[in-house]
Amino acid sequence: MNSGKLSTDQLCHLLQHPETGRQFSGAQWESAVHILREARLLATLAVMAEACGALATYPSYARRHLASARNYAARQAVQARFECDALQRVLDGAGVQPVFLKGAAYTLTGAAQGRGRIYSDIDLLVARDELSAAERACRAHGWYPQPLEAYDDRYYREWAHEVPPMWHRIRGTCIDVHHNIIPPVSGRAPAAERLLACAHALPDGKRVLRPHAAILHSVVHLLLNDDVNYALRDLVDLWQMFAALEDEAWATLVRLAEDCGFSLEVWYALLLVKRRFPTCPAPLEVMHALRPCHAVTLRRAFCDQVLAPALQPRHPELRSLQSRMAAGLVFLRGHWVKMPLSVLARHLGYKAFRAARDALFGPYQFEPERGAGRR
Amino acid sequence: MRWIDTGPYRFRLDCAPRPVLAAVDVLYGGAASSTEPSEPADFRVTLAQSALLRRLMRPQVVFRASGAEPFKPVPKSQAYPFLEWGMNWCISAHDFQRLLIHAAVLVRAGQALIFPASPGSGKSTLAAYLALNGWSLFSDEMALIDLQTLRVAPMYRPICLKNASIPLVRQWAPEALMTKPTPSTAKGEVSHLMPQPFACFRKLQPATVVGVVFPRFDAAAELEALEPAPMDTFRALAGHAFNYQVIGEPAFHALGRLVDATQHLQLRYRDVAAVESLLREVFAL
Repeated sequence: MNSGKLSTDQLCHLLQHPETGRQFSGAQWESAVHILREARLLATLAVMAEACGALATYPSYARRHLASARNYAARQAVQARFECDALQRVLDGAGVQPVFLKGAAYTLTGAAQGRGRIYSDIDLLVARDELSAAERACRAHGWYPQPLEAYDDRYYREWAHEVPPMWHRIRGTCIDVHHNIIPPVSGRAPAAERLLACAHALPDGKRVLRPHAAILHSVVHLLLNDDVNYALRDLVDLWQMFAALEDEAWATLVRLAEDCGFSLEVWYALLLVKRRFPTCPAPLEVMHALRPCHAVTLRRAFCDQVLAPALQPRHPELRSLQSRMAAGLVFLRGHWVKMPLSVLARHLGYKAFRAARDALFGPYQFEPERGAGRR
Repeated sequence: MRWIDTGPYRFRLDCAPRPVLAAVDVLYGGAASSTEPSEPADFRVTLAQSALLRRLMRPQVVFRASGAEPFKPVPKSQAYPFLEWGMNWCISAHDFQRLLIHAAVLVRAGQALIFPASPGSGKSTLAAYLALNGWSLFSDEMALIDLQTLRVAPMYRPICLKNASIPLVRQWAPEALMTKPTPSTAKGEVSHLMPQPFACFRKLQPATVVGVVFPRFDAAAELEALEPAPMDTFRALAGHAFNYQVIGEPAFHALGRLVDATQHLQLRYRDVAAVESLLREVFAL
């Protein structure tokens, strides 16, 4: 069989035009299934291919895997709604008004990017002064943090924009309670009130961010994060959200980005999404309003040469020297923008010590907990 | 690199210690190949050596599939059974199209019996005895049940024998294809037995399930057979299913139809030969 190697662009093309999968060879399908499974996009493709009638034309190998992934995602959506109901009740009882974020919010609103989306935790945003009440209420109803190394616990408490993740002790579901969308220690955290003000209530009373604010959050997650494992999934989310954004909401997005100081990031995100998904809308006046005043060429080059290759699925088949170096740079930048230099130096020093230790002895020697379920 | 064709699932083994590859070749025979087959692989798996110093002192292996590391590493000496368990994980963590029940499946005269059981019930020993005495082994580990037709599909995988059953099976069939026993795994000493050649397996077709049998080995018991209430059978099957919770409603209905369409037995036994004749009599096989 001839080589089935696919590029990120070919995969994105498949997501935009599922009917082209009909021409894929067996080897190409094998590649697509494995890369998309790891990138958590297999069920997304299943939903898209089903919607346009392409799924039925795929070879049985692809149909089988896509149908399984879709069944899994459907079950997860049911579970997520159940967990959100439970959280809403628990937090309501504590006088906390949570805003559901990301995956959970997409599922609750029935948005396109929520269909077939696989996510591992439920993200919530609460006002800073409600944080401890929220944490206490969750603990009182079965959600507990896992024991953390003292360093990691301090990392969360002092520097992060969230409290340590909590797991439900019977159902095993994980929640992340945030008080901002980026660590305040970065100096870039927007006023949380500005974000909370962008929330609105769904008919059943649960609150989620309005589409433009959900986009901003997704952009921040994509570009100001050291974890780029699921970057392509984030790009797909953004593509779907940009595509569904109403005409008047573009101006609201630009204003929010300006107020929060993320105009450059939203501009990068639009360039990146447009590059991978050419059908995505990017109104000229919006691009113009977001465009940085200085070093536009340099920044475009950074976007093309560093961000784009770094934000690919981390599958060995898609890796090149450039993508690895770019991913390294983006990892550093993700930390750089999140922490002041003194904190960053300490943090990377500690992480380097841990990495060196793990390379010698294996990650399980010192922290047996880290073994099971690592993804 | 090896490709393993188990029938419903194809595995690509990207890397593994040499003794593991040798065991794969011997045990799977015609189902294993070192050249790429024309059909795509469902799962790509790796048994990698762990960290640097670990390679020198008490070397370990890590199982990876689809970017996931579902288990803690084990000593390199346990690599082969670890691969088999990893392959089971791949199936149960990714197939949500068929109902997967933790059970042995044996077929005679085109009629399938499934044996759901907890560890220590003697399920694998019984499966080995039946497979070595004219029954076709469809699986020792999981029943793959089609949600519509309710037929169970054959899968070419070995039986995992534990502890005392290893010498017992050796005694029954000195010539049988078995791996060298691996001591002190999570399940004790284990050895994998492939009771039928690939050529015979390839002739097998999905079969209708006629019975659900819950075996329980008890060295002190006379052969005893009870008919459990259908509700109890349903509950036990759902409890033994890997993906019942994920599939949800379609699994509930399929299981309900399966329970209605089959006969159920709860067995307490010490002599597998007596079980064999009882099963043939009860199910007219």
